[in-house]
Amino acid sequence: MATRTPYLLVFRNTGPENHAHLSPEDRQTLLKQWNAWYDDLADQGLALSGQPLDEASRVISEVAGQRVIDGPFPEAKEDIGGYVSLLATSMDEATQRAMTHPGLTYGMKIEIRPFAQNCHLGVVGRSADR
Amino acid sequence: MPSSPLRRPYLLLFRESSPDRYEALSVDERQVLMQKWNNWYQELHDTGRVSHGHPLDPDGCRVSGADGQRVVPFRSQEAELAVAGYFVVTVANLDEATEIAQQCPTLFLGMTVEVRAITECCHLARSLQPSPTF
Repeated sequence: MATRTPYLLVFRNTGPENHAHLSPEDRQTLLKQWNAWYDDLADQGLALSGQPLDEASRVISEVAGQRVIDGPFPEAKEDIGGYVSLLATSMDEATQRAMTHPGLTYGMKIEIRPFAQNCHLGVVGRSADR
Repeated sequence: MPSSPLRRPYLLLFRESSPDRYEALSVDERQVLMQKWNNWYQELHDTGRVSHGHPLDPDGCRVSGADGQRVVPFRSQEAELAVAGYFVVTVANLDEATEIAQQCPTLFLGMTVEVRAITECCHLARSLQPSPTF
């Protein structure tokens, strides 16, 4: 069996405006489809974690993090709305899984990024038990 | 997701604004920064404030379109403020998450840290909940 490695699926462009035109029934249907998409992956042991993010954000930058700006930033059309860590045998398989996400119909974009063993400086990734 | 009435999870997204600035660093300087990152993570881990964190491969792909049929390569070098990695921290509030973000060892190289509260319930679900009555 091919080895599975983790990929981060970053959900972008998922703001409330994408769904504002939907009736409550249609929103309920989308919500069910969305949860079913995740539960199906979780039941197969392929989704490790997944969470929505609050729209409020804070951005820290510059030396010693002296610049602090509070969002949300409505102009950021591709703002991140949530994420899922997914196990897959290849980028192609991760892509196939992403392509079935029901939110794509309403303008969502999914960025797929393999977890790196270490960053370009050599900083290694850690999990909770290491 | 670890959570308690007193502590809640936040996602710290590390973004590179100018990845080319690393090219000017010597091997020794890179080594020092790597050590600072690893020490920082270890200290947050030892004090129970980070549950996991990971750098991301700079290259990936993006899926969009109604049936996900549009698949294009993603390259951090060509993207503005690409996400380079993340931490999931569990802290008392946004201010504590901010204090942690301000300790990021590569802020001086143009890195930015976006702090986002991880929620139990997305806005789509919230929009279907009955409005609170008073």
